[in-house]
Amino acid sequence: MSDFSASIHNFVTKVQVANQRVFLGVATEALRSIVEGSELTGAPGQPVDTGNLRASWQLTFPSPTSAQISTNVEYAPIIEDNLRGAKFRNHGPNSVKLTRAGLPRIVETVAAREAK
Amino acid sequence: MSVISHTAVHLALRNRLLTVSGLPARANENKDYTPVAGTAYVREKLAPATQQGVGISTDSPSEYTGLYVVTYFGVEDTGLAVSTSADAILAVFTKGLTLTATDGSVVRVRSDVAPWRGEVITNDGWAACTISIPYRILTS
Repeated sequence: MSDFSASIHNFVTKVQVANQRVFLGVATEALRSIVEGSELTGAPGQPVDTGNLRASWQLTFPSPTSAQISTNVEYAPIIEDNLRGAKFRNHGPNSVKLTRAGLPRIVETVAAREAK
Repeated sequence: MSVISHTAVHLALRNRLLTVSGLPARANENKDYTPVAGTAYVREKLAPATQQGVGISTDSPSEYTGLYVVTYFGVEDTGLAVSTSADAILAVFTKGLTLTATDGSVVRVRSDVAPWRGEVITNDGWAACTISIPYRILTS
């Protein structure tokens, strides 16, 4: 293999690795934003009463290029939208929505971090 | 102007909400409201999210982002009425819409993450649907 071909191959490998690191980093940041809250998105994180909802959030990878953040707690949508008008003692509602709206900033931040 | 009035921003978005035809009773943020069983109402809330400098100088402009969250509470077991009403609210917050607040801030409904609505969720006799409006303000 010529030096040029080797250089191109190395570059492609480097980009693929960086791409994977950004993908994983974005997924992890999004999970943190929903569960714990985030300065990047303004999400307050999951309110904690028993800890059941907070502990239920999972990050899974249905395919190599997709990530899924989910919970199987039935009342999660009621907390997210605060449909019962609760007064939260910690954290708050709207974390999934704020994470969705803040995703471009998560991507920008993680990509910048990985570029260093 | 590098600092905005979130109250002014909230009022600009609320005034836009009030242009929705046939809007039912409104539960404003931090204001006691007792829902009347069997009567639809909307609840609105401002969720300011981030402030970020867009330059390296301390007096550089700032970009503010946040969500205006409107939840339509319809009556359970009334079919598609709630969904139709939620769509009507979503329709007045088109992506790219600009609203000028009383403090001079220009509130722009985001296009990169456009407004959206969720599914209808039934709970305690209500059928609720939440409409999320992401906004951005760039100070001068």
